[in-house]
Amino acid sequence: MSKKRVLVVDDAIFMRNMIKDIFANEAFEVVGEAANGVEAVEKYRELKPDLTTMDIVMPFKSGIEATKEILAFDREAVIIMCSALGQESLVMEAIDAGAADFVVKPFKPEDVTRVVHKVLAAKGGGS
Amino acid sequence: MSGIDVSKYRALFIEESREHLSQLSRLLVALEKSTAPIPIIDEIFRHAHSIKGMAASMGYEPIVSLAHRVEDVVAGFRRDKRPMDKITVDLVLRGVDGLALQLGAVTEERPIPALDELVLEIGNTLADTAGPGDTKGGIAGATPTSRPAPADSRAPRPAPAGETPAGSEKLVRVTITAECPSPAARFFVVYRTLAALGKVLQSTPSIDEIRAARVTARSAAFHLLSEADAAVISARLSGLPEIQSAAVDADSRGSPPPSKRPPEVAARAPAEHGEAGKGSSTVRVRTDILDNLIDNVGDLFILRQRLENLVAADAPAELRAALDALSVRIREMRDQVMTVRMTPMRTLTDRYPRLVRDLARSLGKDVELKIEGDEIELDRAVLDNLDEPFVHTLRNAVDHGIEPESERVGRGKSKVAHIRIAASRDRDTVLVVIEDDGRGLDAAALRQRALDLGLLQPRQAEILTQRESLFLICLPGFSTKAEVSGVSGRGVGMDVVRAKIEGLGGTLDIESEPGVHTRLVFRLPLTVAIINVLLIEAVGRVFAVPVAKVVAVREMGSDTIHGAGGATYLSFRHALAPVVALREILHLGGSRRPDFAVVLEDGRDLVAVGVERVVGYREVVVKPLGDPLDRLEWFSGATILGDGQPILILDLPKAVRARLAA
Repeated sequence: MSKKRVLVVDDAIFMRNMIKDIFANEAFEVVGEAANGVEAVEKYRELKPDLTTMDIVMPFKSGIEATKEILAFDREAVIIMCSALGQESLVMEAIDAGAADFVVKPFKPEDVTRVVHKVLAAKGGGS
Repeated sequence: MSGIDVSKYRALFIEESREHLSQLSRLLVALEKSTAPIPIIDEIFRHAHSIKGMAASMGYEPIVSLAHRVEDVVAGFRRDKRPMDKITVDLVLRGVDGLALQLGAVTEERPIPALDELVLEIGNTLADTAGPGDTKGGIAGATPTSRPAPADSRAPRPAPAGETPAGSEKLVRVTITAECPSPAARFFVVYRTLAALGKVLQSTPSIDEIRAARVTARSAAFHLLSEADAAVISARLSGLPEIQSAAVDADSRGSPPPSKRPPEVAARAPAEHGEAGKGSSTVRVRTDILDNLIDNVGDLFILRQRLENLVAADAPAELRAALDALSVRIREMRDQVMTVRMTPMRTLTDRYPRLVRDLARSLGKDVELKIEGDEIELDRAVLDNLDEPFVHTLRNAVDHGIEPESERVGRGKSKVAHIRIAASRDRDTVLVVIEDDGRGLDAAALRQRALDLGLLQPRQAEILTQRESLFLICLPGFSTKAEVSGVSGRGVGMDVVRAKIEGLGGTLDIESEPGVHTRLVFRLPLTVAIINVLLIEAVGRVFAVPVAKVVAVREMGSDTIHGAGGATYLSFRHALAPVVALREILHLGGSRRPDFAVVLEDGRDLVAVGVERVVGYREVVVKPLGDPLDRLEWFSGATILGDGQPILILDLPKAVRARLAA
């Protein structure tokens, strides 16, 4: 089975590194990173990853806007929102826009992998 | 009632009677403004009647005779379907006050005063205003119609659905895992998943509540109209993260088919109809029992954490599984106990319309109080501490904030002044705004006043911002009125209000536009018993900070700006937040540069605290600090971690403020 290709979007290097470490232990390969919504959309078009982790509050363009643009470009995009506690309404807005699911910071590696596996399994079974 | 010892019912009698009295006050004030008084009169009658009945059972004759008179007066208007005039409203309010006085005597175990004059006065009015056929002993006429229960059944109940639309109705019950950090968002994903399979007719919590993140329960029920097979629906839900269980049943006959009822109406009905929403049976529990219960659950939490630490990572799977199961049970129990402790803000604010009305009248002002969001629930322990600050704020608003009528008219304002109390949920906190449309706060005048009182040095006054100047009213000894007025300015001041709110782990913010409004914003924790904290470390020592106050954690790096003179700033959301190292705040020594910045919200300001390590995120039981530790003003409590290590909980915004001011 080929590795799943991941795009990591977050404005904090710390968070990007942490998420990259999480995926380094799995059957994944982080193929790109983006530090804001604008970069996220560009990188997505360029890389067409299997999975995108998306921060919500970022400079220039929010994760929600980026999610909408990516889904407009690719309806099958699998985007998992990385929200902070208390951003429920933003998460729901992203889910409304078509994001697959969410994880809440601060998270443990297994929180992320659990959600990712479930989401990918559901996508695989659904289509 | 001979032979039965009624004394054990006394506490219950007091509590229920208080509720009835508070409802009576609220309704009587509402009556003055209402255009449809008859249903309100109905309700007033029921409350008076309930008090009378209970007092009779307890053998409290003085209460019975006063309540009887009050009930009779109301009964006359009720029978004739007449609106109640202002004089009668005043009289009945005095009757209510009398009953409160008598109830106070019961509470303090003093002899109950008879209040003969009041009883007589109300009796005389009765004779004067009685409609045809009324008698002083009107109770006989009143009793048969006075059973409250049937009246409540007027609450809208949907008729059974006549036609069956495509698909069949199913009841979907979903429980999410105890670890799920964001139940509202998780239920929203469940909702979206179900909506993709059919039509969600109704849900508990309602979709509006979910969208507003007003969800605390771990379980939800959705009425779904769908052609999909139950097994398919169940499998789809089980495939979602953080789902503990998902059960799909054909919608039972037990609950009325909700298809004809718009979900919003169904969800809001109980709040609007007051008592009409009482569907399930309830039982009353003494608050001290609840307090013990939460303490015990808290200890269970700590013990479980300790067990977890003792169980080695390579322990048998069975042991681990048992421990996990125990954790889930304890969390469930915690959630249930917390739910029981949650009390709607209404229990506090219901008496405020009366309070504001009386205050305003005594000052010759006309003030309308509007209360929004009073269905929002807070821990009783929080609620108990809010009355004093709220009442003081309302008094200030009526007395100082709102101008005399002539001045209002001169400024082109409405004659009737307005005060608004609005509560809303925001993350782990409740926001309560108390706002008046009075003269507002004049920053320059406040500064001058503080200078005159010697509370401020001229040098300090120059550098105070507009907003900082408003906070001068929170200085001990500050009063804007030259002389102490009868209404406010006595007892607690704004300094006490602020201290009380901060003592609860909340914050106070003040906003004002001179001539337009004054707005006090209280941010309050939902609960004080069990909170989420971030563990942070400085110079090898670990402290806890309530997560509710943390906006973000940032690595100190490219976003950090080192200013001249050693000051450090963090660029955050297009603003610069000053960074103060925790080791400096607490004078811990050491010289290591912090690696992380914990960004905090203090009112509208952002401040950042530099720490060496962020240890993690825990759910902890707050233990109050006893004397003398509670004199450490930067610590709001303590907690014990699973390994038995005690940790102090920091009131960081306060500590930072003190540090920046120094």
